[in-house]
Amino acid sequence: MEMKRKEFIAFTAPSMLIMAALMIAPLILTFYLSFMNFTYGSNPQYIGLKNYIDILTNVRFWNATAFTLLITAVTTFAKIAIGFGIALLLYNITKFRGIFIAGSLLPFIVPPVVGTLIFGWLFRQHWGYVSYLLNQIGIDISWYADPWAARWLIMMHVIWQGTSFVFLVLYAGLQAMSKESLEAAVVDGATYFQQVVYVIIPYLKPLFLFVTMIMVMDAYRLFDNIAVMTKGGPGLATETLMYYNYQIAFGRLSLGAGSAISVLTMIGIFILMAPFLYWTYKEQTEK
Amino acid sequence: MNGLKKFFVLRNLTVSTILYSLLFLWFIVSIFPFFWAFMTSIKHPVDAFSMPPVWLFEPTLNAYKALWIDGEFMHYFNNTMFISIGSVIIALIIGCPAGYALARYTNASSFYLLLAALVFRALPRTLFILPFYFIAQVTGLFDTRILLMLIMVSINQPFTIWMLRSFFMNIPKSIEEAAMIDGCTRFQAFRYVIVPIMGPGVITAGIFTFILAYSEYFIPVVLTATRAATMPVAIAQFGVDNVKEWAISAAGAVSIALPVIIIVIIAQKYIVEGLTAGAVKE
Repeated sequence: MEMKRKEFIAFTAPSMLIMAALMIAPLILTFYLSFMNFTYGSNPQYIGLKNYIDILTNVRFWNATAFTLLITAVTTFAKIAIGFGIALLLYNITKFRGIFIAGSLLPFIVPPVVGTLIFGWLFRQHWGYVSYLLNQIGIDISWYADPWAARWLIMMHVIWQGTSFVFLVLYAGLQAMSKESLEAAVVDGATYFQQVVYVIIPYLKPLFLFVTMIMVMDAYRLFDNIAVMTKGGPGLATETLMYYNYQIAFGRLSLGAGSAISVLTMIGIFILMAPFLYWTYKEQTEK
Repeated sequence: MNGLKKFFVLRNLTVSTILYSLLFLWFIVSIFPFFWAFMTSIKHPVDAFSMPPVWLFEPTLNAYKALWIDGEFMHYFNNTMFISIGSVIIALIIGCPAGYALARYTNASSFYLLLAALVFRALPRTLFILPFYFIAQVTGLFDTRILLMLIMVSINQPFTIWMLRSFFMNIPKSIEEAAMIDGCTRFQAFRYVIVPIMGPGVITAGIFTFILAYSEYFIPVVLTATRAATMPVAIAQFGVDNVKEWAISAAGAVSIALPVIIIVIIAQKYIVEGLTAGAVKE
């Protein structure tokens, strides 16, 4: 007994209505505002593409874009590599699994603001424990004052926070994997490394795609840790697109320009996501 | 699993030790910041700031007292709980029928709706929030908990529905179809047959919706001032470089993290299920 269209509409209506009112309507409004000169307190004036031109010719926008892309690429790759490694390790372990999973979940589940604070405190110059440990072995890095150190600090935090999601998804995939293909490979004399590369990775390909897509989406929209840890600093070294957007829209109250940045960010995300959606579509239709 | 163990030959004790050590290393990396924050929160400032760190010290609850009793943290806690729990209730009430419908309706529009859900999840929050900034000011809804709650529900709906849908897909159609053949409308079948058995899926979706609302920083920091501010906003004000009140902000961090940690310990099964549901069962 298939669900009728009428029933479908009735069941989804409340949800769709709320999303339309509180998500889609503002979205359209933001588009509209991006073509306006609008500061809070005055009336919007239509200025066409001026906001877009101003932003696209602004170095600060491109710096933010470059850093956002850097974070996205580096942290996604690291999270997948480490997460996959952990999944493989845990697959071979029999004891303490529950505790391990619970512990490694914490950075991911706890509010990002809290995670940022407790992570960031460790790297403070004079009273951060990690800084102290590094000093003991002769390394003295000014994590907050040096632009590249600050960038790596942010990236390390992102990796610390998000790897467990990758690990969990891949680990679940491993557990669902049938043993026959692995057994066949071993019978053929495959080494462990070959088993991983030729059996496990191809099997997990859809999951790799999925986590990569999610991690790319999340990295592109980083805000909480920048706002709490470095506030885009030193200078503008760690400013991401979202933070730049926040500064322009709510710091300077240029809501029109802020809207334009949001739209441009959205276009960026679509460009990034397009290959993933295409691959996922191909995966689905190949089945 | 036993048969497979043979193939990952771990007779070599060294290999086994290395494996456990690496995992242990990651475990430590994951929880050490929490441990350190907790230590800081119960140290007297003179102990907290001393490097090399002091491991044996006289603990104190001064920071917690300053935060909860003398300070206004209780107010932020109440706001956060009100908004989070309210979000969950509304989100589930409107999300369950929607998730169920998406699970059962096999027409192409169902797929496109899901695609739209994923797309919305990807979009930067500024796209949605920016208009609210001045709409809220103009309509007097700025800095109110109701507004935050409704916006959270709306913005997290795609994720909530997605998760609920994958749980409903695991409930066989035959269950409600049997009821409908007996004369129930679809809604009656849903209400009296499906609802009682959808417990685990709803709990999982509820936990995630709660955590998402609980952890949200960007939306409250833009749309609140003092009345409706949540705990993440309050603690972010301390910042990473606040030296004077480090113990207090550490206590705040621990206080905020604690309910979530408890949820992870108690409901770990549900969380793992929820995180992997969308991926593995696709």
